[in-house]
Amino acid sequence: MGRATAAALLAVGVVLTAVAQVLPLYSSSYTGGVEVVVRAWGTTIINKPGDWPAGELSPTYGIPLTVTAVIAALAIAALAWRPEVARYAALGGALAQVGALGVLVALVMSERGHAVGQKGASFDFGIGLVLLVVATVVATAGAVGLQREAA
Amino acid sequence: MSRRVQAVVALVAAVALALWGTTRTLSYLSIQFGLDQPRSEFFTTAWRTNFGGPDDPHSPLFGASIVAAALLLVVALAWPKKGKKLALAGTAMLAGVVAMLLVYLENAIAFSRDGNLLVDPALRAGYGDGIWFLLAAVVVAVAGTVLHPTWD
Repeated sequence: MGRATAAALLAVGVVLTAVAQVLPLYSSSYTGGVEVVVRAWGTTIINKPGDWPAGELSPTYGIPLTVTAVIAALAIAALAWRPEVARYAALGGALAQVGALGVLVALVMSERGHAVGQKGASFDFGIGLVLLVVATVVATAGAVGLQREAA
Repeated sequence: MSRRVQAVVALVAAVALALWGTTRTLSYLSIQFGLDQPRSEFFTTAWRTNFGGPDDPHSPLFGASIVAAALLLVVALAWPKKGKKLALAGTAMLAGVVAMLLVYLENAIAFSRDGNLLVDPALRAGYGDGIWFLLAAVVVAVAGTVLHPTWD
C-alpha cells in the first residue's frame, strides 16, 4: 500500500468518526412510547415518564473518539514534514480508537441484552455505531499501511 | 540494566497490571434502602456487574478489549524486531480502553449517586481500585514503549 492510499484511508476514518458522532449509536424502545436514543455526546429520552430516575445517564463517548480522530488527523498533516512521527501518531490514534470502540461495543451489547430481555422493549443498532466501526477499521488499515510503506 | 531489559520489565508489568485490573472493582455503589434494611453493595468489574444476588447476565465485557491490548504487548515482547511499534499499538489500545472506561464510569457513578441521594443521603459511590491498576498499566506501558530500543 502506498503512502497516498494509506493516508486516504486514515482521512476517511477521521471523517467517518466525525460524522458518526452526531448520529445515533443505538436506541431502545419501551412500553408507553418511551425511547432512549444514545449518541456520542448525549442521550435523548423521548416521552420521558414522570418516574424516570433523577440524574443523567449520558456518558460523553465523544471525548475519547474526538481525541483519537484528532491524533489521526494530525498524523495526516505531519506526513509531509515529519513522516516518522506521523506513522507513530497514526498507529497510536487508530489503535486508541480500537480500544475505545471495544468498550463502547461492550456497553452496547450489554444494553441490547437488557432491552431484548424486557417485555414490550426493543433495541436497534444505530447508523452512528456502524459508521464508527467502519471508520475504526478503515483508519487502522490506513495506519498499518503507513507502517508497511515505511519498510 | 540495559534499555531493552528495562523495556521488557515495564511491558511485562503493564500486562500484569492490566490483567489484574480486569479482576478488580472498577466502580461501586454502597446504599441502604431503608433504616431497617441491610446495606446493599453493587459493583462493576471488567467482566461482571453485580446488583446484589447473581451477576447481571448482560454484564459489559470490558475485559475483552483489555486482554486484546495486553496480547499486543505480549506480541511486542515476543517479536523484538517490530517490538516498539507493537508496544505502541498495545499501549494506545489500552489507553483508548481506559479513556472510554473513565468517561463511562464517571457518568455512571454520578448517576448512581444523584439518582439515589434521596433514598440514602449517606450512600457511597465511586471508583474501585481496578481503574487505578488499569491507569498504572497505561503509564508503565508508555514507559516500556519509550524505553524499547528498536525503532524501524
